[in-house]
Amino acid sequence: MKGALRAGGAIAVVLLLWEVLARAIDMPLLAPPPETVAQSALALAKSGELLRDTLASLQRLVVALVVGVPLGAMIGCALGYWPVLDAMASPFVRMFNAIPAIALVPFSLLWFGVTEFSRFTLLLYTISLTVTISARQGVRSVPGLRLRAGATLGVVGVPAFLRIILPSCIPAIIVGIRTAIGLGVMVVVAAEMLGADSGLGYLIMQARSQFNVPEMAVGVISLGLLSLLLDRLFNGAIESFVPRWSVRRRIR
Amino acid sequence: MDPKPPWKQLRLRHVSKQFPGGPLILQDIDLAFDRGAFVCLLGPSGSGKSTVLDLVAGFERPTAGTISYDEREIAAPGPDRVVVFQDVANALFPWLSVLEHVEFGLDRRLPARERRARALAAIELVGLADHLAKFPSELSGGMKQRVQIARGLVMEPEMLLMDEPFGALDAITRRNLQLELKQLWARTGKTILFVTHDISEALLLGTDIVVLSMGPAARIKDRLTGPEIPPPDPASPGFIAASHRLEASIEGPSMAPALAGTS
Repeated sequence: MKGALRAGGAIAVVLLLWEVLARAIDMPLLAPPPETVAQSALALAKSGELLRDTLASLQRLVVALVVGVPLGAMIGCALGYWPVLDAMASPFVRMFNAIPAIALVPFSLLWFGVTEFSRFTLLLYTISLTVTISARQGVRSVPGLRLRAGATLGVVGVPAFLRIILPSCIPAIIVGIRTAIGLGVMVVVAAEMLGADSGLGYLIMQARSQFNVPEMAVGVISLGLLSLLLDRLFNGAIESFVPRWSVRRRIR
Repeated sequence: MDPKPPWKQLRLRHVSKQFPGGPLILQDIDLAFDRGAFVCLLGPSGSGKSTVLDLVAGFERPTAGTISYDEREIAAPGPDRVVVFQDVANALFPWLSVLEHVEFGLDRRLPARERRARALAAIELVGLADHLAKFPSELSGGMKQRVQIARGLVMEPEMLLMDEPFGALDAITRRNLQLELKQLWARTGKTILFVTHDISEALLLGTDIVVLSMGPAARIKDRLTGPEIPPPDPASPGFIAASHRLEASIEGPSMAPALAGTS
């Protein structure tokens, strides 16, 4: 409650600063004051464009998460579990980790055109790679003693993997998913800016081509809010569906 | 119980252990224990006591010699020789409750109701019946060790292997757990192999006390058994004499010829 109050205060201060700055600059077309942006947001909400574009971006993200998280978790667990496989894959994982999805946009456009699939591949790349790395790290940091504790109770091999290693690395995978959601928002917008007919990235680019700065601002702020909302929803889901792995339980 | 078999339950024959590229840790350890013994392995830190326990547990294989258990050679860890670890933070599973911990090792083909009943009985034995739903992060150090003991006992092991289980606990908790462990041992008749560096703990608990020399190449330096173990009264003359003897053999010059000439 206190936290919400403080956050609200901070938002009020930022809005006030924005207002003051916009007045000082006095170029409403390039640097619109908050009330102009608010009006623009209202108009976009009324016409349904804002909802349509937000949902379009959200849908792309969710589809890619549903495919990419299990894929990344499986690859990451395999790499963490089999050192030989890890030694072979690790140069590639490191290299791809240094290549942002945005750098691959030209490839995806060339190979798949301006299609839903080309955006999906970029998102899948980012999400599965992020989750792979965290799951691998999770498996590798399972304390050896925990496996001995299982072995002395007769739990070895596949059951040990399922009942000790996998649950041990769930906190790392959860962190990976959170990171992947954040990165995914960035990638989905970049992909939409370069070729799409819907989504928040498309909305921002459309506004730019019409020199509509308030609409651009609405698009950007909506993105931030969407990202924030997703993070909150994800945390809430962890708390209510797998409470024993929630941050509140402070595992590890 | 069935009549005592004509052999010793646990036998270490000329056991040596050396990790690849490392120093010789144990040299020619020869020991045998009866069923139902409470064996305390005593020694300075670095003497390889925990290595002996790891070998009996089956986590490690001896470099030379054999370890047999009811005349079968020990090759792998198993629930007939359950280990209670000192590092309780890593030995427990943070995502499981007390009850789930104790059910963890039970055969999953058993009916759920029977697993539950056996787990509850073991939890009752260690006095955690009021904390069934708690997670490790909600338990004190002493309670965590109780969980480990219950998790082991429920498997109905022949032996309990305990690696300085009370080493990280405060003095009062430690004393209580020592007393309870002794009662538990008397009630269940399990063989216990208990590693410690605390002389009075060994004298209070053990029916056999084995002293290892300072490593590397630790050997058996002294052994107290049967009538040599005084009654568990720290104020009695016998107890004091025995603890002086153990203290001397832990701190005194090593009798191991391998170390003769070094000081």
